[in-house]
Amino acid sequence: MKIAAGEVIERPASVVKELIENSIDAGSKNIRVEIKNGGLAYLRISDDGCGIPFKEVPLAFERHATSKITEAEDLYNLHTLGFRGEALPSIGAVSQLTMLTRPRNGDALEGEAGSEIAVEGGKLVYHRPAGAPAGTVITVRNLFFNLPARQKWSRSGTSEAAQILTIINNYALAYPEIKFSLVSEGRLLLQTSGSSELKDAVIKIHGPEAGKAMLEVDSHPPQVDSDGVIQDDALGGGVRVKGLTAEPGYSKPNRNFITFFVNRRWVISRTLSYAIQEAYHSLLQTGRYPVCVLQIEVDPSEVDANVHPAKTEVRFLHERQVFIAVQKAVRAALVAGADSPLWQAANPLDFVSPAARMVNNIYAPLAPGEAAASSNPGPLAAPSPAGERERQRSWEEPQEHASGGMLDDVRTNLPAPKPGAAPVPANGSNGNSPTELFKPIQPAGPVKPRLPLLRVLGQMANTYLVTEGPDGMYLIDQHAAHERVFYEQFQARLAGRDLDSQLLLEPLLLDLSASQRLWLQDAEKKTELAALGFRVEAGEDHSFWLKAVPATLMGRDIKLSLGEILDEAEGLRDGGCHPNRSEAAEGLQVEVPRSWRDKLAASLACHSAVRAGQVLTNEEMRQLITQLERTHHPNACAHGRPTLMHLSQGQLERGFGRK
Amino acid sequence: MKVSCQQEQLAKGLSIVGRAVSTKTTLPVLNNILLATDKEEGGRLKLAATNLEISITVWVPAQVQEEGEITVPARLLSEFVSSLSSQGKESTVQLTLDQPTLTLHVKGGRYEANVKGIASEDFPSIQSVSNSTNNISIEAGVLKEAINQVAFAASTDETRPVLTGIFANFSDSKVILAAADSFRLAVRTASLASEVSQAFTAILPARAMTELARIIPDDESMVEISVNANKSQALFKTDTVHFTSSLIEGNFPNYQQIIPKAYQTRAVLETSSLNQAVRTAGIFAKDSGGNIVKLSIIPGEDVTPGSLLLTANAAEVGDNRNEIDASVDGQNAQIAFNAKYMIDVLNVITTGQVALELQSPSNPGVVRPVGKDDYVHVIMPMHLAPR
Repeated sequence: MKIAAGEVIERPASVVKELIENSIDAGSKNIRVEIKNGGLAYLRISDDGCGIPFKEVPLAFERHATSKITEAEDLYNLHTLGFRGEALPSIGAVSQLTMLTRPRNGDALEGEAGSEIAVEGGKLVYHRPAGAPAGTVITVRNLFFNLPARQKWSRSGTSEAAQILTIINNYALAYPEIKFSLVSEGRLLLQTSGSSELKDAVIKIHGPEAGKAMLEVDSHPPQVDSDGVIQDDALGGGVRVKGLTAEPGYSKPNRNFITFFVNRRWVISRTLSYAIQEAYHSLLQTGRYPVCVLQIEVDPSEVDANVHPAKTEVRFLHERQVFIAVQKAVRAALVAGADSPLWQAANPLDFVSPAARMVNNIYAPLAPGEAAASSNPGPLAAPSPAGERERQRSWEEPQEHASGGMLDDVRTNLPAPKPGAAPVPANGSNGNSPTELFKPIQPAGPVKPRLPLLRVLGQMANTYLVTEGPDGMYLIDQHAAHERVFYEQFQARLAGRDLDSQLLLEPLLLDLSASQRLWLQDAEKKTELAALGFRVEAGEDHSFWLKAVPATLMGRDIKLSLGEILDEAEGLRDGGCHPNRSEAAEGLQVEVPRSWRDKLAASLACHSAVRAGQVLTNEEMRQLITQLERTHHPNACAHGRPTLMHLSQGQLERGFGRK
Repeated sequence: MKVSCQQEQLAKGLSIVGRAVSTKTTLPVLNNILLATDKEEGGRLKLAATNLEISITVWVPAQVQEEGEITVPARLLSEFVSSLSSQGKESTVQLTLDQPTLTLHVKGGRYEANVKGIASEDFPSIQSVSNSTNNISIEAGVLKEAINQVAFAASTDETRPVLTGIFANFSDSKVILAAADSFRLAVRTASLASEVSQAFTAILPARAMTELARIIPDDESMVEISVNANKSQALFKTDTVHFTSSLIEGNFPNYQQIIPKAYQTRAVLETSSLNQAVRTAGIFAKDSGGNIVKLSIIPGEDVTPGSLLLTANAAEVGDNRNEIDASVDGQNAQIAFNAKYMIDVLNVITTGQVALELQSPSNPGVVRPVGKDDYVHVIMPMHLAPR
């Protein structure tokens, strides 16, 4: 037995997942899911895929019958989402199921337009020829009607619907070329365009703001690191990372918006999630998480999707390689696309996320045709209503699809693989195969300057610089901006040598807590401190004397700064000007491991930077902006707080009613 | 209250007391100037303002027709009175108080204004420094220069209050003023016009002293200094101005031990060319993170004169080398300073030549005027990490 034990159908979402995967494997361009009461009462999935020939229909309901695999070795070289042949029989066993299907190429079996099969509790009710549009329509009613126990365990319709939405969201992101629709209780929750543009799918799912914030990620262009050195791609190996990731200005309070697909299969991976957080290191505040959709393409033989029946966990042969590839690709995208976060409009956005729509019962109005269609799903045994057929017909692509039905192989009783053909369904040739790469992203243009050209207008509240840019107004937090400048200066200089320090006229006796004293006794930490410019010497009676301070810290309260820097480096204290992490208590916080030196540098930058409330001259403000322009990540301070905000011309015009 | 006085004198008086007007709004009356009539010396108008740290009182000659007192918003009155200069050079200003409405009517030529005031009872009484133990006289010009030579070195960090002050040590017929932050020290000795009966010390707030230096004249007129018995306040008196400042309590560190007694290398330079060279290097130093200027002193040989080489280096931006002539006593020396500290001291050296005395790259450097031994400035060098 080479396949892990099958997962039974435990909730409507699993049905949707299995059936969507079938539809995708069948090369569908259009997948529509309709549910009632969270799919428990009624669930229908219609696609315009390759369909199933009449004779093979009953076979589809036999366990472990699959057309997706021709020999056991293929299990190690999977290119389809499904491969166990369990879905349809499992669903049929616990519901009243009807399937209406017609092969896309009608000449597969002459004279037969299509077939309809009804299964109830695993027993065949009928199988007869029927008129049907090309593709497959599976209707599942009364899920778990014969399993009262499981019925009871299924949660409310809303929470089941939320699960289904999550699943469809994920597939819609993985397959932007397929148009997904979800209709719940007769109302349209989500509809993607199927335009092949990942961004369009993101806009539909996460909203236009997220769409605007998205930066393209593509690991294939040669990687250029922060010093402008072209990285050797040897490490990246055969791993390619593509997709979209949000600029740091657009973040979320949880990790639910980090989405990965490995060879277009949605996976949950702490490792990859961690790689993303690494890439955003110092750009996001603690407790904020990025939004990203990443496709990771690896050689199918180097990834094991068969860890768990739900296939949401994967194991990589070269995990480290994948990790580095993801981190680098995302970081590169962030560096290239750094742009200021846009001012959040105060008035509610037009966009309501599908999830919010469901929770708040706000639904997008259906197009008239769709409303008519979904309001009349048709009785169990009756052929589907004309409206729907028409709609399905309209999905049909004008061009002829290549042959290669999903059950072809079953019919011929597992024949030898087609000569020369990879175990990809033949219809992969028309560009819709699951393993096909994303449509090539347009090569990125010249690298954007990291900051737009800004003209200083003035200072607000002695804290924010008001500047004018090419598109509207930019507000810059003087402290955060200066902190970023110092942080990168320190980083750059520390890479080569120690920071310069200013000697003190008289050694300063330090008042230190017991724990701080303990750290200073650690030779290694003391060296790190000296590298930054703090020269501390032990005196008698466990006293410590400060002999020199970092040049940038002059004019500050040195003793206080040193104490705070020590505490912050040791994690006892968050940066003075930074919010506390909110999630730490929930145990969700994965602390980004930063070296002592890095933390010290961040903290020193914070203490050296101009404070909020400090009056700056125009010249100083101009200087600050010039310096900020030279940084690699001008958009966040060393602790991840944003440095600037953008109020676009358009927003101003809307706000003042000019548009 | 009904008085008239010369516009020019009134405007000048208002601008002087204006320096003590508080900018904080917690106590509105502190934004006001007190005006009070004074029958002495043939009639004067007293103007006073305080921010509770310093207070300034100025007397302006005036014709008092009716006595009274009032406080009025400082900026409003002084700006209006300044504008009255348009009414002719010798014009007079009449101030008439309408007591019931607390409104001051100000009239100059054909301009007039009403300014609403606050009753003078609300104005904090300015403590007069009475029964002072000692009365010291010093030339205004000397005091002014001495303050300017040390005040900038005082710390702005309020956590060590004594370092925000100027330490003053009065003894015999001289006063030693010293100020230091954690990185530099300035010491100036000035002679007094009179002998001090009993030596004493005080710590004067540097900020207040800077204000004082601004308002006292740069001439040979006398400033009388007195400190009250419990050493909480000092009074500086000129003919027309009384300037009171609170004193800082505490012990000033022993600065004498910081001044190096010897040197390895001494370079004598033209003050102005050194100043210019440091400023030029400072342009580049500003971007270097620590504002660092490196100095190399090269002794002359036989016929070639010695020189001082200044270099500054801004990472990724550029660097700068400036060389100036120097007469060098001793060996080669290298040291790095914060450019700002160099510029600060060179700005207050009044002699044409300046001496730079060094021991080692990590020992303090000393700057002295050449030809005058009344001033010493000590700067701690920067420690440059090995490259």
